[in-house]
Amino acid sequence: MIRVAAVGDVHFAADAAGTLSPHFAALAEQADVLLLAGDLTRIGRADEAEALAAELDGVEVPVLAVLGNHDYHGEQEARITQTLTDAGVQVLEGASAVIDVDGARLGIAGIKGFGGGFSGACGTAFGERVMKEFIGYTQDSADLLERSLGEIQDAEVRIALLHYAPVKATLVGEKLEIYPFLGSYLLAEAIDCAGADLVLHGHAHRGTEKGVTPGGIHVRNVAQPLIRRAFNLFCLDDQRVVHEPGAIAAEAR
Amino acid sequence: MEAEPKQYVIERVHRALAEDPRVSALDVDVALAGGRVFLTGDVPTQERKDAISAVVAEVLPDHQVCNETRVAELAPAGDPEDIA
Repeated sequence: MIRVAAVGDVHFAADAAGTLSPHFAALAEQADVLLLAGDLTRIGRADEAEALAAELDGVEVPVLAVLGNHDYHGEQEARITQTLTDAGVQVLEGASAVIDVDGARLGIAGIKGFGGGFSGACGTAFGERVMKEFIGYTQDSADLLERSLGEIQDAEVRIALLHYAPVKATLVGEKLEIYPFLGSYLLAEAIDCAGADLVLHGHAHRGTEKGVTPGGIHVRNVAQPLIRRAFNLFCLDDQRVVHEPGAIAAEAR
Repeated sequence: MEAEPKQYVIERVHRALAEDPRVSALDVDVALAGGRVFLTGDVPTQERKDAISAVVAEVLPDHQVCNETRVAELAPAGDPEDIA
Protein backbone atom coordinates (compact mmCIF):
# COMPACT_ATOMS: atom_id res chain seq x y z
CA MET A 1 0.00 0.00 0.00
CA ILE A 2 1.28 3.47 -0.89
CA ARG A 3 0.20 6.31 1.35
CA VAL A 4 -0.10 9.79 -0.17
CA ALA A 5 -0.57 13.11 1.59
CA ALA A 6 -1.80 15.90 -0.65
CA VAL A 7 -2.85 19.51 -0.39
CA GLY A 8 -3.11 22.48 -2.74
CA ASP A 9 -3.68 26.19 -2.46
CA VAL A 10 -1.78 26.82 0.75
CA HIS A 11 -1.13 30.38 -0.56
CA PHE A 12 1.82 30.63 1.76
CA ALA A 13 3.66 33.74 2.92
CA ALA A 14 5.64 34.76 5.99
CA ASP A 15 2.49 35.78 7.87
CA ALA A 16 1.37 32.14 7.87
CA ALA A 17 4.62 30.80 9.35
CA GLY A 18 3.97 28.05 11.85
CA THR A 19 0.49 27.15 10.62
CA LEU A 20 1.55 24.10 8.59
CA SER A 21 4.75 22.88 10.22
CA PRO A 22 3.02 21.34 13.29
CA HIS A 23 0.96 19.19 10.93
CA PHE A 24 4.00 18.24 8.87
CA ALA A 25 5.97 17.14 11.94
CA ALA A 26 4.49 13.65 12.06
CA LEU A 27 3.96 13.29 8.33
CA ALA A 28 6.33 10.34 7.95
CA GLU A 29 4.07 8.28 10.23
CA GLN A 30 1.07 8.98 8.00
CA ALA A 31 2.36 9.08 4.43
CA ASP A 32 5.13 7.98 2.08
CA VAL A 33 5.05 11.17 0.01
CA LEU A 34 3.67 14.71 0.17
CA LEU A 35 2.19 16.19 -2.99
CA LEU A 36 1.48 19.92 -3.35
CA ALA A 37 -1.13 20.85 -5.96
CA GLY A 38 -0.12 24.41 -6.82
CA ASP A 39 -0.81 27.92 -5.49
CA LEU A 40 2.00 27.41 -3.06
CA THR A 41 2.47 31.15 -2.63
CA ARG A 42 0.18 34.13 -2.11
CA ILE A 43 1.21 36.35 -5.02
CA GLY A 44 4.06 34.43 -6.61
CA ARG A 45 7.04 35.99 -4.83
CA ALA A 46 10.28 34.14 -4.20
CA ASP A 47 10.31 35.21 -0.53
CA GLU A 48 6.93 33.49 -0.11
CA ALA A 49 8.44 30.31 -1.53
CA GLU A 50 11.29 30.71 0.98
CA ALA A 51 8.72 30.91 3.78
CA LEU A 52 7.10 27.72 2.54
CA ALA A 53 10.47 26.00 2.19
CA ALA A 54 11.17 26.83 5.83
CA GLU A 55 7.79 25.39 6.76
CA LEU A 56 8.65 22.17 4.93
CA ASP A 57 12.03 21.89 6.66
CA GLY A 58 12.10 18.62 8.54
CA VAL A 59 9.54 16.82 6.41
CA GLU A 60 11.04 13.35 6.12
CA VAL A 61 9.18 12.08 3.07
CA PRO A 62 9.71 13.12 -0.56
CA VAL A 63 7.85 16.30 -1.46
CA LEU A 64 6.71 16.90 -5.04
CA ALA A 65 4.80 19.91 -6.31
CA VAL A 66 3.32 21.69 -9.25
CA LEU A 67 2.91 25.46 -9.34
CA GLY A 68 -0.43 27.24 -9.65
CA ASN A 69 -1.66 30.50 -11.12
CA HIS A 70 -0.78 32.46 -7.96
CA ASP A 71 2.79 31.24 -8.28
CA TYR A 72 2.96 32.81 -11.75
CA HIS A 73 1.45 36.15 -10.73
CA GLY A 74 4.74 37.78 -9.75
CA GLU A 75 6.46 36.39 -12.86
CA GLN A 76 9.03 34.82 -10.54
CA GLU A 77 8.04 31.22 -11.23
CA ALA A 78 11.60 30.22 -12.13
CA ARG A 79 12.91 31.62 -8.82
CA ILE A 80 10.09 29.95 -6.93
CA THR A 81 10.91 26.65 -8.59
CA GLN A 82 14.61 27.07 -7.78
CA THR A 83 13.92 28.04 -4.16
CA LEU A 84 11.76 24.98 -3.63
CA THR A 85 14.19 22.74 -5.52
CA ASP A 86 17.03 23.95 -3.29
CA ALA A 87 14.85 22.97 -0.32
CA GLY A 88 14.48 19.44 -1.68
CA VAL A 89 11.06 19.80 -3.29
CA GLN A 90 10.75 18.28 -6.74
CA VAL A 91 8.75 20.74 -8.84
CA LEU A 92 7.11 19.16 -11.89
CA GLU A 93 5.92 21.06 -14.96
CA GLY A 94 5.24 18.71 -17.82
CA ALA A 95 7.53 16.19 -16.19
CA SER A 96 7.38 12.97 -14.24
CA ALA A 97 9.16 11.37 -11.30
CA VAL A 98 9.26 7.89 -9.85
CA ILE A 99 9.66 7.23 -6.15
CA ASP A 100 10.48 3.88 -4.63
CA VAL A 101 8.13 3.06 -1.76
CA ASP A 102 9.24 -0.16 -0.09
CA GLY A 103 10.03 -1.70 -3.47
CA ALA A 104 6.93 -0.41 -5.25
CA ARG A 105 7.21 2.36 -7.80
CA LEU A 106 5.05 5.44 -7.37
CA GLY A 107 4.98 7.48 -10.56
CA ILE A 108 3.87 11.10 -10.51
CA ALA A 109 3.23 13.18 -13.61
CA GLY A 110 2.84 16.84 -12.79
CA ILE A 111 1.77 19.97 -14.59
CA LYS A 112 -0.05 23.15 -13.64
CA GLY A 113 -2.58 22.86 -16.48
CA PHE A 114 -4.91 25.69 -17.45
CA GLY A 115 -8.52 26.55 -18.23
CA GLY A 116 -10.79 26.38 -21.23
CA GLY A 117 -13.93 24.73 -19.94
CA PHE A 118 -15.72 21.46 -20.24
CA SER A 119 -17.72 19.49 -22.75
CA GLY A 120 -20.57 21.51 -24.17
CA ALA A 121 -19.25 24.82 -22.84
CA CYS A 122 -15.59 25.19 -23.69
CA GLY A 123 -13.40 27.52 -25.64
CA THR A 124 -11.78 26.63 -28.94
CA ALA A 125 -8.67 27.86 -30.69
CA PHE A 126 -10.62 30.17 -32.95
CA GLY A 127 -10.80 33.92 -33.49
CA GLU A 128 -8.50 36.42 -31.86
CA ARG A 129 -4.86 35.52 -31.34
CA VAL A 130 -5.22 35.73 -27.58
CA MET A 131 -8.05 33.19 -27.68
CA LYS A 132 -6.01 30.81 -29.80
CA GLU A 133 -3.10 31.25 -27.41
CA PHE A 134 -5.38 30.54 -24.44
CA ILE A 135 -6.66 27.23 -25.74
CA GLY A 136 -3.33 26.39 -27.34
CA TYR A 137 -1.64 26.73 -23.96
CA THR A 138 -4.11 24.29 -22.42
CA GLN A 139 -3.74 21.85 -25.32
CA ASP A 140 0.04 21.99 -24.97
CA SER A 141 -0.33 21.31 -21.23
CA ALA A 142 -2.59 18.34 -21.94
CA ASP A 143 -0.12 16.97 -24.48
CA LEU A 144 2.74 17.30 -21.99
CA LEU A 145 0.65 15.62 -19.30
CA GLU A 146 -0.15 12.67 -21.56
CA ARG A 147 3.52 12.31 -22.44
CA SER A 148 4.56 12.54 -18.78
CA LEU A 149 2.06 9.88 -17.78
CA GLY A 150 3.39 7.72 -20.59
CA GLU A 151 6.87 7.99 -19.06
CA ILE A 152 5.64 6.32 -15.84
CA GLN A 153 3.38 3.65 -17.30
CA ASP A 154 5.48 0.89 -15.72
CA ALA A 155 4.98 2.23 -12.20
CA GLU A 156 2.70 0.22 -9.94
CA VAL A 157 0.84 3.39 -8.94
CA ARG A 158 0.47 6.45 -11.15
CA ILE A 159 -0.76 9.85 -10.02
CA ALA A 160 -1.47 12.91 -12.14
CA LEU A 161 -0.75 16.04 -10.09
CA LEU A 162 -2.35 19.24 -11.40
CA HIS A 163 -3.42 22.65 -10.22
CA TYR A 164 -6.32 23.21 -12.62
CA ALA A 165 -9.26 20.80 -12.65
CA PRO A 166 -9.70 18.13 -15.33
CA VAL A 167 -13.42 17.53 -14.67
CA LYS A 168 -16.53 19.49 -13.74
CA ALA A 169 -17.49 17.17 -10.89
CA THR A 170 -14.90 18.59 -8.50
CA LEU A 171 -15.98 22.15 -9.33
CA VAL A 172 -19.55 21.77 -8.09
CA GLY A 173 -20.09 24.60 -5.62
CA GLU A 174 -18.21 27.13 -7.72
CA LYS A 175 -20.14 29.60 -9.90
CA LEU A 176 -20.91 28.02 -13.27
CA GLU A 177 -19.78 31.16 -15.05
CA ILE A 178 -16.15 30.68 -13.96
CA TYR A 179 -15.80 26.99 -14.84
CA PRO A 180 -13.77 27.82 -18.00
CA PHE A 181 -11.22 29.55 -15.75
CA LEU A 182 -11.02 26.60 -13.38
CA GLY A 183 -10.03 23.79 -15.69
CA SER A 184 -10.36 21.97 -18.96
CA TYR A 185 -11.65 18.64 -20.23
CA LEU A 186 -8.47 18.43 -22.34
CA LEU A 187 -6.58 17.50 -19.17
CA ALA A 188 -9.01 14.66 -18.43
CA GLU A 189 -8.79 13.43 -22.02
CA ALA A 190 -5.00 13.27 -21.73
CA ILE A 191 -5.22 11.38 -18.43
CA ASP A 192 -7.76 8.92 -19.81
CA CYS A 193 -5.57 8.33 -22.87
CA ALA A 194 -2.42 7.67 -20.87
CA GLY A 195 -4.00 6.07 -17.78
CA ALA A 196 -3.57 6.85 -14.08
CA ASP A 197 -4.83 5.65 -10.72
CA LEU A 198 -5.56 9.01 -9.15
CA VAL A 199 -5.74 12.64 -10.21
CA LEU A 200 -5.09 15.36 -7.65
CA HIS A 201 -5.78 19.03 -8.23
CA GLY A 202 -6.54 22.26 -6.42
CA HIS A 203 -7.61 25.74 -7.60
CA ALA A 204 -11.35 25.33 -6.94
CA HIS A 205 -11.68 26.57 -3.36
CA ARG A 206 -15.43 26.16 -3.33
CA GLY A 207 -15.64 22.99 -5.34
CA THR A 208 -16.24 19.39 -4.36
CA GLU A 209 -13.67 16.89 -3.14
CA LYS A 210 -14.53 13.85 -5.23
CA GLY A 211 -15.02 13.26 -8.92
CA VAL A 212 -14.14 10.89 -11.73
CA THR A 213 -12.90 11.31 -15.28
CA PRO A 214 -15.04 10.12 -18.22
CA GLY A 215 -12.65 7.14 -18.36
CA GLY A 216 -13.31 6.22 -14.73
CA ILE A 217 -10.20 7.56 -12.98
CA HIS A 218 -10.58 8.97 -9.47
CA VAL A 219 -10.21 12.76 -9.19
CA ARG A 220 -9.71 14.51 -5.87
CA ASN A 221 -9.76 18.26 -5.27
CA VAL A 222 -7.36 18.93 -2.39
CA ALA A 223 -7.58 22.74 -2.32
CA GLN A 224 -6.93 23.63 1.31
CA PRO A 225 -9.76 26.18 1.57
CA LEU A 226 -12.08 23.33 0.53
CA ILE A 227 -10.73 20.46 2.62
CA ARG A 228 -10.02 22.74 5.62
CA ARG A 229 -7.29 20.38 6.71
CA ALA A 230 -3.51 20.54 6.64
CA PHE A 231 -3.67 17.81 3.97
CA ASN A 232 -5.71 14.81 2.92
CA LEU A 233 -4.49 11.22 2.95
CA PHE A 234 -4.98 8.55 0.31
CA CYS A 235 -4.00 4.87 0.23
CA LEU A 236 -3.37 3.18 -3.11
CA ASP A 237 -2.87 -0.51 -3.78
CA ASP A 238 0.60 -1.14 -5.16
CA GLN A 239 -0.32 -4.59 -6.51
CA ARG A 240 -2.50 -3.38 -9.37
CA VAL A 241 -2.43 -4.69 -12.92
CA VAL A 242 -0.66 -2.20 -15.17
CA HIS A 243 -3.11 -0.76 -17.71
CA GLU A 244 -2.35 -0.80 -21.38
CA PRO A 245 -2.02 2.81 -22.56
CA GLY A 246 -5.12 3.89 -24.44
CA ALA A 247 -7.33 1.09 -23.15
CA ILE A 248 -9.20 3.37 -20.79
CA ALA A 249 -9.51 6.10 -23.39
CA ALA A 250 -10.99 3.71 -25.93
CA GLU A 251 -13.69 2.82 -23.45
CA ALA A 252 -14.28 6.48 -22.56
CA ARG A 253 -14.79 7.44 -26.16
CA MET B 1 -26.21 61.92 -11.88
CA GLU B 2 -27.63 58.57 -10.85
CA ALA B 3 -25.82 56.46 -8.30
CA GLU B 4 -23.39 53.93 -9.77
CA PRO B 5 -25.18 50.59 -10.24
CA LYS B 6 -24.46 48.30 -7.31
CA GLN B 7 -23.03 45.50 -9.42
CA TYR B 8 -20.28 47.75 -10.77
CA VAL B 9 -19.36 48.83 -7.25
CA ILE B 10 -19.20 45.21 -6.11
CA GLU B 11 -16.96 44.26 -9.03
CA ARG B 12 -14.63 47.17 -8.26
CA VAL B 13 -14.21 45.70 -4.80
CA HIS B 14 -13.71 42.18 -6.18
CA ARG B 15 -11.04 43.46 -8.56
CA ALA B 16 -9.25 45.36 -5.82
CA LEU B 17 -9.22 42.31 -3.56
CA ALA B 18 -7.81 40.17 -6.37
CA GLU B 19 -5.31 42.67 -7.78
CA ASP B 20 -4.05 44.54 -4.73
CA PRO B 21 -0.87 42.75 -3.63
CA ARG B 22 -1.75 43.29 0.02
CA VAL B 23 -4.65 40.85 -0.43
CA SER B 24 -4.72 38.88 -3.72
CA ALA B 25 -7.85 37.03 -2.62
CA LEU B 26 -10.15 35.76 -5.35
CA ASP B 27 -12.80 34.20 -3.17
CA VAL B 28 -14.10 36.88 -0.83
CA ASP B 29 -17.83 37.50 -1.18
CA VAL B 30 -18.90 41.12 -1.35
CA ALA B 31 -22.39 42.53 -0.68
CA LEU B 32 -23.70 46.09 -0.28
CA ALA B 33 -26.60 47.15 1.90
CA GLY B 34 -27.54 50.32 3.74
CA GLY B 35 -24.28 52.13 3.13
CA ARG B 36 -22.26 49.18 4.37
CA VAL B 37 -20.05 46.73 2.50
CA PHE B 38 -20.18 43.18 3.84
CA LEU B 39 -17.26 40.82 3.26
CA THR B 40 -17.50 37.08 3.89
CA GLY B 41 -15.37 33.99 3.25
CA ASP B 42 -12.35 32.30 4.80
CA VAL B 43 -8.85 33.76 5.05
CA PRO B 44 -5.74 32.01 6.34
CA THR B 45 -4.36 34.69 8.68
CA GLN B 46 -5.46 37.73 10.71
CA GLU B 47 -2.97 39.84 8.72
CA ARG B 48 -4.80 39.03 5.49
CA LYS B 49 -8.15 39.78 7.11
CA ASP B 50 -6.85 43.19 8.21
CA ALA B 51 -5.47 43.83 4.71
CA ILE B 52 -8.92 43.14 3.24
CA SER B 53 -10.44 45.79 5.49
CA ALA B 54 -7.77 48.31 4.52
CA VAL B 55 -8.12 47.76 0.78
CA VAL B 56 -11.92 47.89 0.79
CA ALA B 57 -11.91 51.04 2.91
CA GLU B 58 -9.73 52.70 0.26
CA VAL B 59 -12.00 51.59 -2.59
CA LEU B 60 -15.23 52.58 -0.82
CA PRO B 61 -14.33 55.36 1.62
CA ASP B 62 -17.99 56.34 1.96
CA HIS B 63 -19.06 52.86 3.12
CA GLN B 64 -18.73 51.24 6.51
CA VAL B 65 -16.67 48.08 6.09
CA CYS B 66 -18.13 45.00 7.82
CA ASN B 67 -15.36 42.44 7.48
CA GLU B 68 -17.01 39.16 8.45
CA THR B 69 -14.34 36.95 6.89
CA ARG B 70 -13.24 34.08 9.10
CA VAL B 71 -9.64 33.26 9.93
CA ALA B 72 -9.73 29.55 9.21
CA GLU B 73 -8.08 27.09 11.57
CA LEU B 74 -6.56 24.06 9.88
CA ALA B 75 -7.70 20.69 11.13
CA PRO B 76 -5.28 17.75 11.14
CA ALA B 77 -5.55 15.20 8.36
CA GLY B 78 -8.51 12.85 8.73
CA ASP B 79 -8.58 9.12 8.11
CA PRO B 80 -6.91 8.03 4.87
CA GLU B 81 -9.18 7.32 1.91
CA ASP B 82 -8.63 4.02 0.13
CA ILE B 83 -8.43 4.59 -3.62
CA ALA B 84 -9.59 1.35 -5.18
